[in-house]
Amino acid sequence: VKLALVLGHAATYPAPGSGHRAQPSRKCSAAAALGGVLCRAALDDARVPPGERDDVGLYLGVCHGRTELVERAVRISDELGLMDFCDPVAFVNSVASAVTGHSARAAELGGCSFVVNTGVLSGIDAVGLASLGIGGSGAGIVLAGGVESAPSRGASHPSKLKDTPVHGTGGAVLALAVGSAGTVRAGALGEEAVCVRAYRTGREDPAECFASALHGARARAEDLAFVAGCGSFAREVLERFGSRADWFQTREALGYLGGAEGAIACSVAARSLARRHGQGRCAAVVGVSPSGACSCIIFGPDPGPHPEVAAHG
Amino acid sequence: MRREAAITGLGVVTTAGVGLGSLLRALRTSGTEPIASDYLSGRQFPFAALPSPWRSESAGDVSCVDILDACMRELVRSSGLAPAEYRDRRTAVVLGATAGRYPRWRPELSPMRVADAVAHRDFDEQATTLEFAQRWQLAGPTFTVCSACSSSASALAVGHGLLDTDQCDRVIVGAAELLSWFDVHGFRTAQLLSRTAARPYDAERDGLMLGEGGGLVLLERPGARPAFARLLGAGQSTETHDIAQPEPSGAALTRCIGRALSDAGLRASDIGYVNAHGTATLANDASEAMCLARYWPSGCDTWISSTKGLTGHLRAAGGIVEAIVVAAALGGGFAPHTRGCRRFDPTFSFNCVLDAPVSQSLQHGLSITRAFGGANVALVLGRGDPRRWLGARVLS
Repeated sequence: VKLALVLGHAATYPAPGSGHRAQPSRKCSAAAALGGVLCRAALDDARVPPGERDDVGLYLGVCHGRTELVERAVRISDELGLMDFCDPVAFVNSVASAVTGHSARAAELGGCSFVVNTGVLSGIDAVGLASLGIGGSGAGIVLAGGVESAPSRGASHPSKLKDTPVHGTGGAVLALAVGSAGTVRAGALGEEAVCVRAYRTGREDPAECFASALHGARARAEDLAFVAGCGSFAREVLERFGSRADWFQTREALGYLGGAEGAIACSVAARSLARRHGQGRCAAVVGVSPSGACSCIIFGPDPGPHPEVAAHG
Repeated sequence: MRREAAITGLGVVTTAGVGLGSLLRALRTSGTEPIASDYLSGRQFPFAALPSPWRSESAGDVSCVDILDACMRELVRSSGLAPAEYRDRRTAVVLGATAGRYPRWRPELSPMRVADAVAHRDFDEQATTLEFAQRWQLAGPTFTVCSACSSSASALAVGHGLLDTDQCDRVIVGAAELLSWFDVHGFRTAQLLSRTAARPYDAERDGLMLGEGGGLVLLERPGARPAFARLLGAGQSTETHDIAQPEPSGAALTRCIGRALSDAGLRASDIGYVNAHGTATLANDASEAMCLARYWPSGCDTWISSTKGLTGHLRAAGGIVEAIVVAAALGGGFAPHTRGCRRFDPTFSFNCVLDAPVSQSLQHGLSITRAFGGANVALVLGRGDPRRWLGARVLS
């Protein structure tokens, strides 16, 4: 089972408790700037040359990123006594997909580009949809992940928007080769590539979602070497399956990071698996959102090309 | 090339009225003047307003979910979808969105007052999707897709992919938009609003006209029930030219259309009708025209029009409503005309439908949407079961 090969990745996390926040900028939001940097780094890691990026698609999970731009625009408009946005650039950058737009421009991507917003599951769902090639009109290589930014405390406006719960600016982007015939070009993940073996999402009991993903990946709970949880997914669910996998919870480690949480969890899980290459183990990412939705991705070792694909070159 | 999806139910609300019947009547009606209203804006700018009962000063607290509700009621009626089916875990919802839940526009709403009125949770684009799912007790996966003004077209591509990869058995896809503070002040600051009305492809066009409305479609596998139309393929591309300005050469849009045709396994000559983006801004129409002329130059058999003179620019909902327009054109055997275009720009060279709809049997159609951030989406549709359109006329 191989939905997509992980060719490369890039990630940055706010240090726990650092309270690192975005500096408002007219040019673009901190999430958009970070997205561009991560996309370029992930493509470099995957060794995709600049001339081959016209078809590369981009799926980013974003919930709150660019809020600091709206706050800045509101503050300036208020100070100047304007009824309108303070400038047209602020308006364009306030649209959620400005994050993907800026990121795609920075990395010179010409494929599909859109934001997936499913709350704290956004990053997982972006990677999941991308690995299935959904919405990508046949793109071979896609970038998927999530970025988030929080308003600078100094710039925060005395309005309800200041209640932004995001704890910092961070994100992760994976470079994926969709389908079973991708060429193995492992980057920082190691010599042996990691692949996405299953993706499940729905409004169901987290244990059911987890079990369904394991089934889809043809794996058992004891095959898992590592599990990264995000949102409110708890270790107790794993224990019900008898799993003794190493455990990482993005929320506990990094605080609330909105759409970036799932992407960071994917990055951590894929890297963890790459460090264990040759052991035949799998890694899982599971998230639960306050709306009751659950998403799960199983990463596993690359089973190699399908025999028919290999036979036909 | 992927498996086709059947559009087996739909619901739509536009300035023409509630329901497919109203939209069909308006599309078939000759008349060159755009449908513009100034009742809410106090003549500050014209826009394509919602019909009654939303068309009143007291309806200021109407939300996008109210529009989606009306669309969903029609979708359920037109498809015969049972509550057990739409509440099933295998029924996914994919909605497009541009921005969060801002209040409906009022002349006196200042940025500060809006900021005070909008809680952080409302700023989240998925707020509308979650409220809609909650109202209809939808138990399947829900996704909010954002690619600005092409959001619902991207949502259709995602929904098609969810079905194609067996992630679900049916998908409800759509979006709704109201005249929000965000849109009015944003587009006005960007100097993109027309002072008169939308005149797509007109030599004297001066900007876009915002609209209110929305649409929903039900995507299922072929054979589940008679189809209004078939979704055959989708193409997407991103323009890296500028975050707000379209690429003058239309090269990325050309790639996007090529991908859609390839995804559907069709050639450009197979397309009988194209519903173009046609916002009536100088930059969009000029770059889009260059691309359209590459695929469908003047003299070929493909008809092209923009219907934003009727519906206004519906931002996130534009893609879904225009896909429904293409479905109606294929089902009704006509190419809608470009309302608002009085003198076709002489520098453009494609078969634009002007003055009145053209009656013609059509097999395949294409819908184009573009957006800030450079996201282009092209959708290819095929004609469905003609009996469904008889039913639509009865419903009207």
